[in-house]
Amino acid sequence: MTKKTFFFYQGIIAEFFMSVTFFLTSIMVENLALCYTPLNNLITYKSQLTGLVAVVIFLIIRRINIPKSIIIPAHILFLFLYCFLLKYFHASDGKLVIGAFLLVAIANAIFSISRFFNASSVKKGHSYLELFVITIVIQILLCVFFLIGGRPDLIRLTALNIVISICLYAISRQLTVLDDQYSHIVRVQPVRSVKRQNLITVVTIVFTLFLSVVLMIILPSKKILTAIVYAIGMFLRFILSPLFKMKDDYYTPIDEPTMEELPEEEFDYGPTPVIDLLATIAIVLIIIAIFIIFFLKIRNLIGNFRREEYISSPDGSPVSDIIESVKKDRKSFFSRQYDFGHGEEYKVRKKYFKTVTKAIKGGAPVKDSSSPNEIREIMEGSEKHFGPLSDAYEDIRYNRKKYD
Amino acid sequence: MEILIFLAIVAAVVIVELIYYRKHAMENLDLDINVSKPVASYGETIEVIEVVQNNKRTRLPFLLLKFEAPTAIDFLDKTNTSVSDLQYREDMLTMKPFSRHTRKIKALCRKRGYYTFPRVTILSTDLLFIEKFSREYKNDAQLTILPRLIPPEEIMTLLSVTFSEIQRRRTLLTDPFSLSGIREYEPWDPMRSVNWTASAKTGELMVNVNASTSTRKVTIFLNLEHYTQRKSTILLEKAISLAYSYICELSLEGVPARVFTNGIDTVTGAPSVSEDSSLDPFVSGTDLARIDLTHDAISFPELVESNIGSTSADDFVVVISPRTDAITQKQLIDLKSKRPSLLWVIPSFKGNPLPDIDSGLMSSVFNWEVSGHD
Repeated sequence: MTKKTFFFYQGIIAEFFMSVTFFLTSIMVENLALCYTPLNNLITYKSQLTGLVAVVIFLIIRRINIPKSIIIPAHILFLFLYCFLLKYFHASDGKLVIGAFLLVAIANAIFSISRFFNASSVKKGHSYLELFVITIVIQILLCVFFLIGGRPDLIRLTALNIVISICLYAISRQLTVLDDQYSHIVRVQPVRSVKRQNLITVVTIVFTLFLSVVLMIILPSKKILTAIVYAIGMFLRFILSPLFKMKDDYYTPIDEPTMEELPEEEFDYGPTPVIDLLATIAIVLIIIAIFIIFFLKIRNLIGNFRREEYISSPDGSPVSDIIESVKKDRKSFFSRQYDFGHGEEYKVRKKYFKTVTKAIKGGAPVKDSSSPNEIREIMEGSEKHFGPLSDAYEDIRYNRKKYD
Repeated sequence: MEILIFLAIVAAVVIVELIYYRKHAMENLDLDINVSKPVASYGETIEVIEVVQNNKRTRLPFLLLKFEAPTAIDFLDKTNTSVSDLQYREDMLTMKPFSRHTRKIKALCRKRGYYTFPRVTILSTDLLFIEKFSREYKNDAQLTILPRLIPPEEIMTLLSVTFSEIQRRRTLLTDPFSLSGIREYEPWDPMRSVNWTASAKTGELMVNVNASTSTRKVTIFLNLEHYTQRKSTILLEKAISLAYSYICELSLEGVPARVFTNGIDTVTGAPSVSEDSSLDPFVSGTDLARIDLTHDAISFPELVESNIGSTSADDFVVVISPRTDAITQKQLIDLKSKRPSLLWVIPSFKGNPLPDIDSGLMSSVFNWEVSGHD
C-alpha cells in the first residue's frame, strides 16, 4: 500500500504559473470594469499584484491532502481572512476598493476550486493549453476595448500580461510535457538524465526570455541605433572622402543652400521605422546569442570536471544505463582530403562517396567493413539508380577497366 | 513596440529551432540492438543491449526507442512492454551531443528457438517538444535459445541402455589402427599381432593390444511429425529436448553423436541435419534450436531413406519419435533390418497406455514418460 503524502508536489510549478496567468487576466478584466467606476485611478497595477498572495494560498490549499468536503470551506475561510487583511491595509481607500480586491480574490478562489475538482483533466495537461488560449483571447479582446476607450496605459499593461502569459505557458508546458505525453515511460523508467536535460532547456528558455525582455526595456535601442547609423555614415564618409574632395575641386555649388539654411525637418537623418525594427531585432538576437554562448561555455567548463561515464543503475538491477561521451571528430571540413584519382575515376569515386555518405547520414546500416556488394544490397532499397554507379565504382576499384 | 518585437523574436526562434531539428535531428545517429550472447541456454538470463550514439553537436531532448522482441524472452523489467504475438518495448534514452547511451535489460530465455529483432524505430522531438521525428532502422540481431536440458536422472535409463550397448560393441570389435598397449604373448594370439621391436627389446614375445572400435558413434533420428490430429507440439518439444540432453550426456562420456531430423530449419527452410558426428553438443543444439514446429515436417520414411546411407553399420541408432502410427512402425522395422542395434524411444505422457507395437519392434522400444498432457 502506498503511503499518502501530505502535500502533492508533482506539477506544482506549472500549476502555479497557470494560476498566475488566470490572476493576471482577472486583474485586467477588473481594470476594464474599473473604467466604469469612480475608482478608475485609485487602484494601481502594482497594488493589484498583491493579490498574488491569495493565488499562492489557494494553490497550497488545493495541494494539501485533505478531504474534498473541506476544500470549499477552506477557500471561504481564507477569503474571510483576506478580507480582514484588506480592511487593515486599505482602510483609508474605502469599501469600494476593498470590494474590488475581494472580487479578484473570489474569482481566483472559484478558479482554484474548479481546478481541484477537475484534477483528473488537469493532470492530462490539455487544460493548460485550453486555459492559456482562453486567457490570451480575453486579453487580446481587452486590448481592443482599451484601444477603443483610448487607454494606452492599460493597453501597455495588457500587452505586458500577454508576454508574461506566453512565457509562463512556455515554461509550464516544457516542464509538464514529458509527464503528459510520455507518462507511461517517465513514471517507470530511469529517465533522470532526460529530465535533467529538459530542465536545462527550461532554464535556458527562462533566462533567455526574461533577459531579452529586461534588455529590451532597459536598453536605449534608439540611441544605440543612432550611434550605429552615425558610425556607418562616418565610415562611408571616410571611404568616399576622396570623391568629395574631387567634387569640391571641380564643382562648387553656388545656388544650393548651405546646411545652416536648410529647414530643421529636412535635417532629420534619424532611422526609419523599418530600420529601427530590424536593428532592435538584431540587437536582441545578438544578446541572446551571447547569452547562449556564455551559458554553453560555463556548462562545458563544469562538464570538464565531471566523470566521463555515468552509470545510473545499481548492480543487480534488471535495467542498467551507461551514458558516456564519444570522441568528437575534430577534423575540419577543409582538412579532409580524399584522393579520388583523376578524370573519369575522380567523377565516379566522388559520386559514389557522396551517395554512400548521404545514405549513411540518413541511417543506412553501412559499416566500415562493408564490401561494395553489401553496400549495393543495402542501398538498392533506397537509391533506385545506385546499381550502375556501383558497377562503375567496382570496375575502378577492382581495376577491371583502366581510366585516365 | 518592444513587446511586439519580443513576440516576433520568440516566434522566429521557435520556427528556426523547429526547422533546424526537422533537418538535423535524425542525422548521424547510430543505433544497435543486440544480445549479450547470440546463443543462450534455456532458462539463462541474457542482456538485451540497446546502444544509441549521437555523433553530432545537436542535443536531442530524449530518444524513444521502440523495438519488437520475441515473446520467448521474458524481460525482467516489464515496464513499457506490451505483449501480443510479439513484445513491443519502448525505452527512453538520453541523447547529449557526442554521447553514447547504452541500456542493458536483463531477460530470461524461456522458449527454444531462433529469434531476430528485425525492426527498430526511434522517435525524438525538438527541444521544445513541438514536433516528433521518427525513423525506422533495420536490425540484424539474432538470438538462438537452445532446447531445454532434461536433468540426467530423468534419462538415466536411456543412457544406461546406450552405454551398455556401446560397451558390448566395444568388446566385440577392435580397431586395428588404434593401439591401447602392449602385453606378453599368449598362445591364442595371432602371429600378426606380435610387436617385433618390443619383443627384441624385452627378450620375450610381446603383442599389440588393439583398442576397441573407434566408431562408437550414436546416430539419432528425430521424428517431428505431428502425433495427434490437433497438431500438438508438446511431445515434439520434449523430443527435441530429449535429443539435445542425450547428445550432451553422450559428449560428456566422449561418445560422438549425430542427429537427423525431419523438422524444418527456420533459417534454411530445409530439414535440419547435423553435418558430422561431433563431441561438441553446441552444434547439434543450435541446429535443434532452429527447428520450426509450425511448419509441417517432411515424412519420416523420406528422412530415413535420404540419410541412412551416411550412417555406418556399426552406429548405435536411436530413433526418437512420439508418432507411433503404422507407417512409422513399418519404416522402423525396415530400419531395424539394416541397423539391428536400433532403439526406438517413444516420448509419451505419464499414464497414457503405449499403442500397439509390432512384435518385431517390441524388443527395441523404450517408453520415455514425461509429465503433462496435450
